[in-house]
Amino acid sequence: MAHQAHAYHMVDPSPWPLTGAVAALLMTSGLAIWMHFHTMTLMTLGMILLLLTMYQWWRDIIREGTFQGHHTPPVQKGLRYGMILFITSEVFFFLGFFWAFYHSSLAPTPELGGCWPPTGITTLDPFEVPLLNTAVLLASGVTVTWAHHSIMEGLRKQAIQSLALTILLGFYFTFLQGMEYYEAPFTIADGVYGSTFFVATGFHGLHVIIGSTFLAVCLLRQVQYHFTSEHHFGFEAAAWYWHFVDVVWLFLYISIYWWGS
Amino acid sequence: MNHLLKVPLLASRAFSSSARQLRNKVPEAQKLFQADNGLPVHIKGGTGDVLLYRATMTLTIGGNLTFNCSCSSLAYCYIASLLNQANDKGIFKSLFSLQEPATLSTGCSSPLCLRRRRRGQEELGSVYFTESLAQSNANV
Repeated sequence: MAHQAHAYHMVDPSPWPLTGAVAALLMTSGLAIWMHFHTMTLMTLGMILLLLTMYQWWRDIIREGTFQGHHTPPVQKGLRYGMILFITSEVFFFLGFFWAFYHSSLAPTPELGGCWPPTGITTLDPFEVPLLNTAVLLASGVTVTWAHHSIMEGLRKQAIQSLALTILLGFYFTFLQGMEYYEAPFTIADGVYGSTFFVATGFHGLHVIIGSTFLAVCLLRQVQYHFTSEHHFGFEAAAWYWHFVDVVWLFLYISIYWWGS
Repeated sequence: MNHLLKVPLLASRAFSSSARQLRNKVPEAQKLFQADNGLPVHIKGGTGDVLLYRATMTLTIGGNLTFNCSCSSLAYCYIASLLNQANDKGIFKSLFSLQEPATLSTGCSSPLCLRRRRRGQEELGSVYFTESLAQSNANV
């Protein structure tokens, strides 16, 4: 059997980039077809294919790292760079929506009444559910750090408890935000206020769901003994993503909920 | 996906000190995935892997074919011909109730369509068409 004389990972040929690309094609064209011809088949097919691709691709990465030992220190360094660059791209994604909010709110047009919040908009009280949401996410930042230290110190039971608590707090945030959306006295169609509010907080909520799912996968892996006290990069990546989600919320709270009310 | 449903049960088992500890199956998995059988990692896990791969590929190829049928230029040509037929029947004219100039009542003004219609109108002996064709030529 030939062995490699270097520490890098030459990946096995994989079909998942192709299936992922086709999934993206079907989802986007399916979205257009849904809008014009009122049939969801192509889009649904694309979504199923996307889920299958994500499951199998990430399953393979776990196999390569945890079971085959390919994630050597140089490889792990590359994975760290990759996660940091991805989170940076997400920061720029949210920057755009904050730009839109400040563009409209710093110089409100006569059509809005020349004021912010615009005439006729009843804003949410920033010191009610939004403040609770802030406390929930800050607490989840503490519990995820507790989970990290537990993993590093080899405390299995504590790691599982703190990680589960983090996920529960994430679900609690999503539930509270869902209730707020339902009860809100304005909609996405209510001028630029509604647009900026729901698009910015909506994308943030989607990222909370993604982050909670990532942490749930880490919980499953922790229960199955995948992580060691020295090597648990999957968990670290999830924790970084979670802190990023928390920071975005803090900016949203201060800009849109508090200053914008 | 099914193993995700076991998370609450597994978590509560892990919390309870009297419950039987979940066995560490990582060494077995390491042995399976380090076996020297030349299989790529995406099907190295066994029959389940192969079935899931085949199902995914079937959806990929099937989806591509569906996309080609719904979004290809062939589909656009078919839809364009449907729209032309509807225009010839005067459906859009009645929908929008417009006082249209003679040029528009002839429908599509491409050379191919004009030639086809001229042939058809000549058979019916319509003078009107010839006049409107002259008008449209003058306008151009």
